[in-house]
Amino acid sequence: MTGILPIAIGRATRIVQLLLTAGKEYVCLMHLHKNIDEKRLREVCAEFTGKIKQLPPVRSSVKRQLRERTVYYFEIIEINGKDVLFRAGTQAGTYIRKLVSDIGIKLGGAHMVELRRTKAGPFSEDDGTLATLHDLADAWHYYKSEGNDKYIRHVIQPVERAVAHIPKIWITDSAVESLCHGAPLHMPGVAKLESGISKGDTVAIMTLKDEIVAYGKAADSSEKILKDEKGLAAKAEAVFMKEGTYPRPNPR
Amino acid sequence: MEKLTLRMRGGDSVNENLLPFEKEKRSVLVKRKDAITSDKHGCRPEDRKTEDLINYGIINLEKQAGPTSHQVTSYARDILHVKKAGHSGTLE
Repeated sequence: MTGILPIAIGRATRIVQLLLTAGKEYVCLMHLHKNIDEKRLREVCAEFTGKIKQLPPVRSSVKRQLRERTVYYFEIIEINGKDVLFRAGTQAGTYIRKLVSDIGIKLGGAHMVELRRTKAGPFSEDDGTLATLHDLADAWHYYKSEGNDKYIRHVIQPVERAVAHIPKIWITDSAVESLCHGAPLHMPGVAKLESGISKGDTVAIMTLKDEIVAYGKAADSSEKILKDEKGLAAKAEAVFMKEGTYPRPNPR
Repeated sequence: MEKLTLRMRGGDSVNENLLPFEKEKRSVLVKRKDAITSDKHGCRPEDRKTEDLINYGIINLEKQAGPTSHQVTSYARDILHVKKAGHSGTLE
């Protein structure tokens, strides 16, 4: 199977957690085992849009029990006899092969012929940054052998790109260092934030230079964080910034 | 069928479908109008040195058929001579 597989490297590795849990989009070629009337096919596909129940496949990394997943959209791109090309946007952890075989149960059988992932969270196949392993090896060669970093800087993007889909809280310079030491973020350290955050939401905590400090859970809503001067704003779950990048605030 | 397979790459259909986060419209709420950041510390992500980027970056990798997601990840790690790498969910 092909398509986009964002890879985080070195100190950025743990950021993949925010991509594992992000929505995905696939283009899939499904082969039906019987000739099906187009109207009936569209009806059944529509049944598999929205909340669906899915039993993870035998060979999967999760416990094998029926679980609910959301198919955000299901668009049939083309029908050619028993071959059906469709695009689906799905919640993380939705098995497309299983989705196809479940559709098949209602239509006299179907299997997945090909699958291509076209979005993984904020990454998509058409954002101009897609690179093959071959491109990566070439870029490395240009960098190491010829001292030309133009390609490697195109292929490898800053870790912050991986939090583009996560709501953000920006903090003051003086609040950075204590977060790097594992302390929670207090209200006075917040410089600005995005609207629409609810208590418990995953947030990215950024410096005013748009560097990621950590990601974690919001301890309150956007409205409260904006107004309050006391209490917790967020708790970090994974810290990315190295200690000592920003100075400790001056003792008063 | 060959035609269909080819069209898996982009194709000529316009994709107007959006994932939930792509539909969210967030605005920035300013709590401290006077907050500024010093140039003495930190570095804007786009200005990061190449050697730092290589050990602290993300690749939008096009996985080709054949190797597993795990194998592809370890190839990328080896190419860049970094100690760790991780992928964003298997694609088998």
